[in-house]
Amino acid sequence: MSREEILKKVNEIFWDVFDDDSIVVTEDTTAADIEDWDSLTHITLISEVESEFGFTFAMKDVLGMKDVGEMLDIIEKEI
Amino acid sequence: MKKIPVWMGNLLKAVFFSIIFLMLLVTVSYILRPYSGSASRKNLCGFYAEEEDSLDVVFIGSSAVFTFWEPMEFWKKYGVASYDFATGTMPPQVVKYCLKEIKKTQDPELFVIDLRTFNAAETGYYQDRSIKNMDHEVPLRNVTDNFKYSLNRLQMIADCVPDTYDKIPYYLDIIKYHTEWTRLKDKQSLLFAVNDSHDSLKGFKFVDAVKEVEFKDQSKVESTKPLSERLDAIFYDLLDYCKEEDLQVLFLVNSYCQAKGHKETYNYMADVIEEYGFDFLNTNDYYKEIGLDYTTDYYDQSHVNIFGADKYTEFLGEYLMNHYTFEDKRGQEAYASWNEDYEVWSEGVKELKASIQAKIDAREAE
Amino acid sequence: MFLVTFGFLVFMAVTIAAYYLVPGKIQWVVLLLASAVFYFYAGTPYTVIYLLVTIVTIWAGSNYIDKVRDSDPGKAKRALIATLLVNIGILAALKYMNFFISNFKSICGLFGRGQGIQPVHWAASLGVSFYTLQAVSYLVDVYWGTSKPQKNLLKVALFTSYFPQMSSGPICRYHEMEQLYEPHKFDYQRLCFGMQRMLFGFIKKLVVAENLGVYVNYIFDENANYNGTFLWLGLFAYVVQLYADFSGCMDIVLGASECFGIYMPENFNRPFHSRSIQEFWKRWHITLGTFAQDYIMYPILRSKAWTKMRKSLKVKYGKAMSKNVPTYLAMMILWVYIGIWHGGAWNYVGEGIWFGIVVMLGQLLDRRLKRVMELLGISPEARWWHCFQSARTAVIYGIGVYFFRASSVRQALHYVKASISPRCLTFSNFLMQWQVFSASFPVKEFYKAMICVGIGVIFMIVLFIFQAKEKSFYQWLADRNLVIRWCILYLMLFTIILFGVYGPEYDAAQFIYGGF
Repeated sequence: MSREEILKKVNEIFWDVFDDDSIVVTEDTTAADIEDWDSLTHITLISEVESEFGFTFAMKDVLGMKDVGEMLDIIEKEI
Repeated sequence: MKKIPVWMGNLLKAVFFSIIFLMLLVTVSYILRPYSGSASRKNLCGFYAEEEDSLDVVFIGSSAVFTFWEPMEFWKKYGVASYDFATGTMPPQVVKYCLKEIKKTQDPELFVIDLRTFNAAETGYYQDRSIKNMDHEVPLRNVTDNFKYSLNRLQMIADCVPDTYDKIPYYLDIIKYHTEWTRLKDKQSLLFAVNDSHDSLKGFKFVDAVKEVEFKDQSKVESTKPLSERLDAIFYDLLDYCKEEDLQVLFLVNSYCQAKGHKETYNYMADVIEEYGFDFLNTNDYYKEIGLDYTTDYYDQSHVNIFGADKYTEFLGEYLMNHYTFEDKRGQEAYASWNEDYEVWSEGVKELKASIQAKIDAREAE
Repeated sequence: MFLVTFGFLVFMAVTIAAYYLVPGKIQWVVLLLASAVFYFYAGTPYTVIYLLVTIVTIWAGSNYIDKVRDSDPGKAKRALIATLLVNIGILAALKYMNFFISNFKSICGLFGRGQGIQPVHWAASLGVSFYTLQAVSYLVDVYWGTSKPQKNLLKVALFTSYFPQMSSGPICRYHEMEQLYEPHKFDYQRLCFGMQRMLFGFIKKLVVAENLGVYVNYIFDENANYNGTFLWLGLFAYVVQLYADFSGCMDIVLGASECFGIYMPENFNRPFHSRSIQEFWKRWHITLGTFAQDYIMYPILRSKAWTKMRKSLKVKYGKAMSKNVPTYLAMMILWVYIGIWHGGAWNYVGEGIWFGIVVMLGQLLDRRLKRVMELLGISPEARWWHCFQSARTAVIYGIGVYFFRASSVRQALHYVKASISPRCLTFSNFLMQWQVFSASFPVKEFYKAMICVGIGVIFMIVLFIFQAKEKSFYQWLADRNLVIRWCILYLMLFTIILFGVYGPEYDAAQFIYGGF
């Protein structure tokens, strides 16, 4: 899977979790950019990504993730 | 001009900040000290206000001193400067430290130490009667709260306050009195901001009261009763100190209604005092000469009023002049203020006598 | 409480002097020795055994886990669970034994037995609720690979027992505290800032909190029966007291640590600025909230059980349920935990449940509320709306405080009822309550105390203004000329000396969060 495809899938997950089809995520998107992205929805996002791509994040990655780009890095490594 | 290095600038700043803070703290502490009803604060602060090396005689003791000995009358008659360095129920163990404190600024010919401090030490008088006077907070603080901050005061508290007490509120009395911050605006408290304040009465306290009392003549009693072990130790320690410092001391018992047991104790103390080569006088043995009237001259078993004080001072004054040499300082420019003080004194005395006389007349009318 | 004694100031002076006199490499040893001395004076000495057990087990556990984690994850997990059990076991035994006993007794009572069961009187080690959590966070961090373990046992000891945090936290993470072992050069301004912050802490605690506490205790006394608007006044005073007490303690503690150049995490950030109770707990006792989130909430949400729950709910009830139910369930567990962290009693559990319910409702109704606001034309950024939200948050917090202060759930509910019952809300009722209240003590002392509180609050407001502008009060002070700066400092010092609650005229002060 290429990076753009991963990003597209992740974007769809965002639509799902935040109930908002208009969200466009980029490599630089952080929690500050999306209104409802707090610690709770973060965990939901993580779970959805995990079940979508079929792997488990390491806890230190869950807590240490700074932006979507870092998330993509980890996904790329795992799949 | 060369710039001082940063670290030195900081050190200087820290040092000066601390010094100014301590000065402010000391001043605030002095202002917050209670102005007690027993006149202890007035008396001691008045002492500090006296000119250096101006006093010839200093009396040390409790209310047995400050309601009995009238420095102003003694001055009027003989031109000798004296002072009542006395606090309410002064505990005996502090007397030595009072001597040290006095010697810092004065060099009197004679010290007169009142022995009632020993006699009253082991009874309980203040609120909690199970606590001996010498261990009770009130008599102790009458002294410690009125001394200026000094090493002597530190040593006094370390030595004289019972070790079971928390001594820190004694060392830093502001810890106890800080809740009374409203005193910062009280004129009375502000007068004592440097812990000295001129006292025209020279440590004497006016008491407007009169009561008939009963006097028993114990002058024939010759038996002796020793002091308790604790008081004996303090007594000898005091005598040793006076001897070391080569002081001229008269140990005195004032004219009150002493019980037989008291007289016996004084007899015991007189022997020891004589051994040390100091002078002793029990004025109760001379009650006839003093001419006290037990219906008008007292306000309770232990204290005379102004009428009694006059007679007592006259007797004792003559005794002192006969036994010791003093310079007559009347007319000396340095002592001009003593004459002014006498004016204030006699005004007060006049009013006091009138008031007491009225009470006596009212009582007689019944 | 040792932190507000003269002895603590002497202790600090000696420790600071020693710290900057020794070479940088062994400065951390000074801190360790100082922490031992602090423990001796501030805690019950023999309980140090519990602290030592914690230190040794997490040192051994963390190093072992790190060694075997990659090669044998099963062993690592077992080691983690074993170490956690020991430490949480100590905490549970010391703090909750009587809770278990009294509940056990009640259950036995249902069968007509258990009359002879008595509570135990085990002294807890100082700060056990705080340092245990800190130790747990370190251990788990090593297990997750977020932190490398500390090989030196004494350094682990310092991290666990660092004296500023032993009274009431903050609960620090290992990576935040590695600065403990670094050398720190003497910095005059930093030392001044630290001491000035401690001054502020003393003002908040001794002048505001303690003075309020004397009178708040009358209102919340078990045998008292205050209600209506008078009770609200009492509650308001108590909330101010809690804030001043706890945040004041934090100022003392963080200021003390700053003197060594060690910056601990903040525990307070203008909590009454919060728009919701959820935000409130991100601004009040911050480190407890983040601990609970990172080490309780997250692991629960990511656990196998929860993943299974999500999957089965998705299948049966659809996406919304599969998202919400597990989240809210985890949330309620978190809030019950926060409640019970405060103490082993049902009223604390009640407090937790109350906040949990409010947060849950807030989440559920969030969208709907936003739509209503749009319809009414209310802008969420409006100042008055923010004030309303803050006030609402304060009231919600206040109800939680009823549970916190009450001696039982029944009494807590009684307080709530007494606050809203209509016949208690009349002015004449308020006056009557005031009569009873003011008859309990010399009124002049009350007015004097309130003046002291007022003066202390003025300092707090000054601090708030600086925080709101995101400026440092201490930097502002440093930029003023010497005379003004010294006058302000003397003002602060004498505010504490004159208006603080200490000395033989008062009983020993009681810090509210200190019994933990």
